Amino acid sequence: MSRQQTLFSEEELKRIDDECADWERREVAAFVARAPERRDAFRTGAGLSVERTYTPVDNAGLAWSDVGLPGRYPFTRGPYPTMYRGRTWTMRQIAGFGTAQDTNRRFHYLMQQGQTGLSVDFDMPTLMGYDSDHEMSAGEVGREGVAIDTLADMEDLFDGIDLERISVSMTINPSAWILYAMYIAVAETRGFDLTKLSGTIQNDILKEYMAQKEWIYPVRPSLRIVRDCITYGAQHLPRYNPLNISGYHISEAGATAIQEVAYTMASTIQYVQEAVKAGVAVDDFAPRLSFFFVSQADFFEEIAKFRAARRVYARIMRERFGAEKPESCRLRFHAQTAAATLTKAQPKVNIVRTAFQALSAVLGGAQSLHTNGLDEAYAIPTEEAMKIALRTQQVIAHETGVTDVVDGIGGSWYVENLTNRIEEEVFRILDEVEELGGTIQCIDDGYFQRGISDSAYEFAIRKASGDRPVIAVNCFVEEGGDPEVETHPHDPETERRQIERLRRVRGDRDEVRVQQLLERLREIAEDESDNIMPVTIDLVRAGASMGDIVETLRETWGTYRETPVI
Amino acid sequence: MSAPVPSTELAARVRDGNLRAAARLITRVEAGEEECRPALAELYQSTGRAHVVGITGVPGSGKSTLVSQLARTIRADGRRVGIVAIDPSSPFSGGAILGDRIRMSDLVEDPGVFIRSMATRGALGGLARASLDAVDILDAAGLDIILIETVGVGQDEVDVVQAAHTTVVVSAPGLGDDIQAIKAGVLEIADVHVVSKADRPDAGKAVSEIKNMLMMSMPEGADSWYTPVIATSAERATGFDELRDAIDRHQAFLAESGALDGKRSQIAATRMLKIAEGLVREDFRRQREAELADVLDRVSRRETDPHTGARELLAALQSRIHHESTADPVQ
Repeated sequence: MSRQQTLFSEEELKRIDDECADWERREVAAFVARAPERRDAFRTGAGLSVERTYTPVDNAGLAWSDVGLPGRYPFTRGPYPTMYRGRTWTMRQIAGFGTAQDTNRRFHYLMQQGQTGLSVDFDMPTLMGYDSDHEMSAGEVGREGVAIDTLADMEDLFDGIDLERISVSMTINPSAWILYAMYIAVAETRGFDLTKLSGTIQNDILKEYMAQKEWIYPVRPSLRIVRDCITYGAQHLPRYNPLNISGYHISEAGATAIQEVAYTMASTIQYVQEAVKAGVAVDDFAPRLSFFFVSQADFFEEIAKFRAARRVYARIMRERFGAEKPESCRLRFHAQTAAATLTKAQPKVNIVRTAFQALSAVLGGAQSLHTNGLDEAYAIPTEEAMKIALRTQQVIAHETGVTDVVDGIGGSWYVENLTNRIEEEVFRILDEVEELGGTIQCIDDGYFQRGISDSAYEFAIRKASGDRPVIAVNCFVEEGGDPEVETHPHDPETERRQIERLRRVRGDRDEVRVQQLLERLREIAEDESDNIMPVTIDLVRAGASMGDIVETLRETWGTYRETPVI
Repeated sequence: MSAPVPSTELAARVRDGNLRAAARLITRVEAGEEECRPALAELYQSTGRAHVVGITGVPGSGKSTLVSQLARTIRADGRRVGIVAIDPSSPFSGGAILGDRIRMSDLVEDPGVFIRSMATRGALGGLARASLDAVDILDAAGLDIILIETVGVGQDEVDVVQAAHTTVVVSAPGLGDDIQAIKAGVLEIADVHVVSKADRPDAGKAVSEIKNMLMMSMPEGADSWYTPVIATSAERATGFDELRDAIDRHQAFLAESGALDGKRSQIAATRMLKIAEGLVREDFRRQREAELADVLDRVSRRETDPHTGARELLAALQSRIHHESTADPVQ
């Protein structure tokens, strides 16, 4: 890495360093003698040391080219030159429950409240590729998200919504390509221009093996599906993100901020390699790669994390993959506040936690944001909880003034220092992954899983022992149990209605055509050089259910099983 | 040939730190010789100083290698170590391949290390009883730390481990479902978890699985013990300092938190009950065979049920105890 001239001269640094030493001797020593500090040592959520204060001496190696200007390589200060002075981030509250019609109503409500993007949460059967009438789905249909079995459901989900004007994000992974196919089919049927569609499918299968553990097929064919989505998207949907590389779940599983970025980048490297291997030029697809990070509790560290992630990505894309377009090096991310920080005790405090987490995402330059509902430790959020969460974003956007300046926190001695340290640690981990044989090998060996559980365990001990305060849980505890919280009701009729609907679609379709297409799907699956997207689009149009498609490929590819090790 | 040294005399030598005397006394304990009972009873008063560490894990988890490395690490601080091995597959028990023995020869020759393997089958009066008596003898002899190595599969072994102050459970990557072979509850009683063979690439998964398990039932409060999970590699000689420190920290935790007293009385209670159970069992086996046979006969012919049969046997025992305590006490 070539470093340009640093920001401060040797003489200037020497002078500041001397003054610091003098200050430690005089003011600090006298003060600490009278009133000792709260702890012997302070550290960030990720365990980085925190000094008393920061100066240019702590940024001695920092060059202007490391920081630079917003919208310019290495994008430390933001992906765009004007950031929120132009348009604020997309306020994208995730929603999904019951049938497609139920969720569609929630979407319309959220848009009326001023939400500017949509985000879909699917139920467990949809996430795992089971039809609603599969025995594995019993009791889960429409419970934690919306149930989608066939194209008919997808049509209902977006009924009355202009897909050219609003971007839609879908949290879906092993079965993502089928939802992608359905989305394309719906858009085409309704006459939308594919080149104008914007939105995202998560489709980040590698982090499933690392952290979230929702997979269907073995690693290799799963990666091939992701590759097919990327290459298909590069040709047909220039504004749609076919992959949203996600640190959120890695963090929620217990990883530190550093691991979140490092493991996400390890996945990124693998995906880029796959697409390049398939013959697509890096600059043809890299601009459509998007990211998803958590916005955790440690305020400054989170801001530094987002800045470091942008710089790390820029360097990887340019230096490792030779990307030439600035857009290929420009990391854009969706942020969500940290659900795992929310408590059942004194749930209104969750509004405050979420507000600070949201602020760090905004100061860190997020492109879209989901703020969690205050009741998420209980159930999926009610309309009221979602409204307050959305209002939290609106207050930040319209009342605090932080949107009027780009990277207002840049140049903070502390945050620049943290940004550097996080970047260094991330590259150290990436080097280690490389030494251990790469991302796939490390997944097989449990390297990421080990890293996550080490951090999770340490953090759990910090919380349980009270070293890490959690208001209302291990300090400022209120007697008398948890208050009544109005929770989102689950409609027990959902499952029956959804299954009836699925059977109706199956009854109405041309079965011969569906079987022919499934046969074709099998052939394509066996030919690694082919792309699975076109036949999947044909299948969903013909009325094939998600389960039809998933099960057919299960016969060809088998399933992934995590090997028990002890 | 001169008359054997009385056990009380051996006990006096043990108290002076004579490890050869300790070895001879342990042999008598193991053989179930009644002659040594009064000596042991007296010796018991000189125990309670050593820190007793139970180390358990399935065969193949690398326990023996771990125990010898740990012993060396503790010796490096100048502390004296006792090793009581009750694992039939342990090289300490003589079942070793030559390489193992050679690797351990430095320990065998070290006067600050006492190694004793207990016969795992046919120890009269129960394996647990004999092993814990052996621990008492080594404790009285002034050893600082006593490591008991067991296979965590049989009830006897589990009893022994539960009589330790610090329980170390050893797992190894790649043993797969062998975890099922560990007696239920053993994983949960660990004060320290060790994943051995950490040089293997899949060791990380083993560490994660244990940590994930521990997180499901975590104690609360700054005064709680949080079970460390330590990866050791004998091949790379890593993790053993950490393991020693964890054991020392647990010892300090027991003392500072006041948990030691509770632990001691729990150990005493368990041992006493186990001994009592053993005595009753022995009584039936040796002296009440006829009675047992009679009840057994009726139970197997379905004339009475096992529960009633057991009560009948106990009633007979109780009347005998009553009779003996008023007439001529045996033993």
